Amino acid sequence: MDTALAPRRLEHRARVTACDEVARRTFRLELHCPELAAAVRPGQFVMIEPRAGGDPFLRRAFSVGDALPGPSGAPDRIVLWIAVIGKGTRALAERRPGETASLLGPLGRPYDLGDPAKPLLLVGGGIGTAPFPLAARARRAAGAAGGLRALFGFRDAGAACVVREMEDLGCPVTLCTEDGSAGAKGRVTDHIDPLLAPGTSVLACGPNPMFQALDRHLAGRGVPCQVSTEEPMACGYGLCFGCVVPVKQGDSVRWAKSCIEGPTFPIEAIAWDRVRSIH
Amino acid sequence: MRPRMEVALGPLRLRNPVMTASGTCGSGLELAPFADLSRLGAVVGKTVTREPRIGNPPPRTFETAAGMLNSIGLQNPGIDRFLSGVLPEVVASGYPFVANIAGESVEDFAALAARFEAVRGTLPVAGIEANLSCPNVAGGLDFSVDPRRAAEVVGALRRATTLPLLAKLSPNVTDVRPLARACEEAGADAVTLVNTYLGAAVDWRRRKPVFGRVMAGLSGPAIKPLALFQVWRASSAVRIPVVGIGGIMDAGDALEFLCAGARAVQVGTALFRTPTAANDLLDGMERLLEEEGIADVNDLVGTLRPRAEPAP
Repeated sequence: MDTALAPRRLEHRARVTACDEVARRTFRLELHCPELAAAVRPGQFVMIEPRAGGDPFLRRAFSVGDALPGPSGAPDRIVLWIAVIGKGTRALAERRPGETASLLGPLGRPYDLGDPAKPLLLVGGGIGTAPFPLAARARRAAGAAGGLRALFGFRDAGAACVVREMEDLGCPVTLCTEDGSAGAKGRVTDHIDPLLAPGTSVLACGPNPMFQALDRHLAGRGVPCQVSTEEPMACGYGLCFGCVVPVKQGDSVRWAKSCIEGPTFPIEAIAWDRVRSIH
Repeated sequence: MRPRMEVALGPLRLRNPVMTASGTCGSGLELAPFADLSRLGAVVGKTVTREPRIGNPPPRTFETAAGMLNSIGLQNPGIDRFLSGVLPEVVASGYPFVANIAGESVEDFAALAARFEAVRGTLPVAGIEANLSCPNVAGGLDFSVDPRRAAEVVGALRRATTLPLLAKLSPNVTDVRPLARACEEAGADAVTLVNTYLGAAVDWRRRKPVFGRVMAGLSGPAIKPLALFQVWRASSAVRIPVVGIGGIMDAGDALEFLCAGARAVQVGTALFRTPTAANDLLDGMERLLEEEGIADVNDLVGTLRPRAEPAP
């Protein structure tokens, strides 16, 4: 380390510009934070304080879902999609425009979007669809001649989110739900095969059972796939050693910090039989 | 006028009383990109053991009211890889570094200290903190509940090295004073307290503990009053300096610990919320001391006065 280098400032004060319920217990939180919006890459995340004052005590990790252009054309806002599952997410859902929020970021290793001349498929499950508008935007900016599609799976129609944003960015979405109430019936692995044109790479984000199913489904087929894991994190920048995932190492595993080695990993790097389900 | 901030933990001289806590910023290299560690009194490294440890399977952390539980399991590369792959970069980075070590036996502790002693010429650490109290490994608590066992470890460390030696104690005892005294008599230069409090979390729907080992270590502001009491109690029982730790979030918290008897403080869990927490706290301490007209931070140490005769 070069101590002459000034430390990078991680903390940003953002202003809430919108907070709306967009699906069942799912909120879209938009924050004005030009520095972060300009710096963030697809697959990266932020740690946000649920509310000021230290209760809940820890920040919460969220994929940055999008970075929206401001009046000058440069990105000035970020968007987080938040599923309300506990105390922290409930507090975030109650944020109102005009309030300020403390964020750390951008954090984590971004997705590798690969060669824009080759097809890319974005596979999202539930709230795991969140990172993909930013990916679609970046891919479009890179001149995605190879084609870009999304395959989103939800429990039911009421849980569907992020679909319109993807379509607005010119990314067609194949929708499926477990009960068939919107799109095709079934899970993403039931519908992925027709979308895997030769040369397609996959970026995936969702619950661990989806990754486990994808890993089995794609095994041996030569389809490059990166996943974005979602282990709960205390800090998000490598200090706490809490957010570990089992990364294969020979016949064994090592517990890798998903905040700095990830959250994106090649799907084959993870020992999925050692991953627990938190859902 | 800016207050004088230098403090001494026996032979270990610190430019100020603000240290990071073991296990909360790796070797410091993990935090260095986000905070200027060269300004701090010292960075205390994550515990190093003789053999590599892969650590516990997740979940490893769990948020609680005003704090968190952790069960990391001393994940570390082991002393060989630490000395060859981590310490050179730490030393090159130039921040004061105290190595934290743990063993399963007295011999383990002594061997680890001997390794740091042996590389002193090329890779000097500022001191060694013995983790006598990790709750998250088998046997980790033995040395922290039995004063004789604690003294055996500290005595062996004292024979193995002349580096400044801190003994980090557990609060999970009826009375910490005999342990602190035992460490003092065995040659410790300072005692650090407290390590985490034992706690548990339960998933009642699944009838399962959140953590595989049921118990985990509680940290954060939830334990600050408990830690303050232990620091006050221990500092009245020993002549060596006490390093206070437990739920310190801001400068006011730190000054409370000094007042209660701590010569220095460690900031841990606060770093998980704010990467510059230790730096911010140092700035705040200087400002508050200046406001109060306290010219030397040492003038505050141990100044707590009873309001009345303590109850019997």
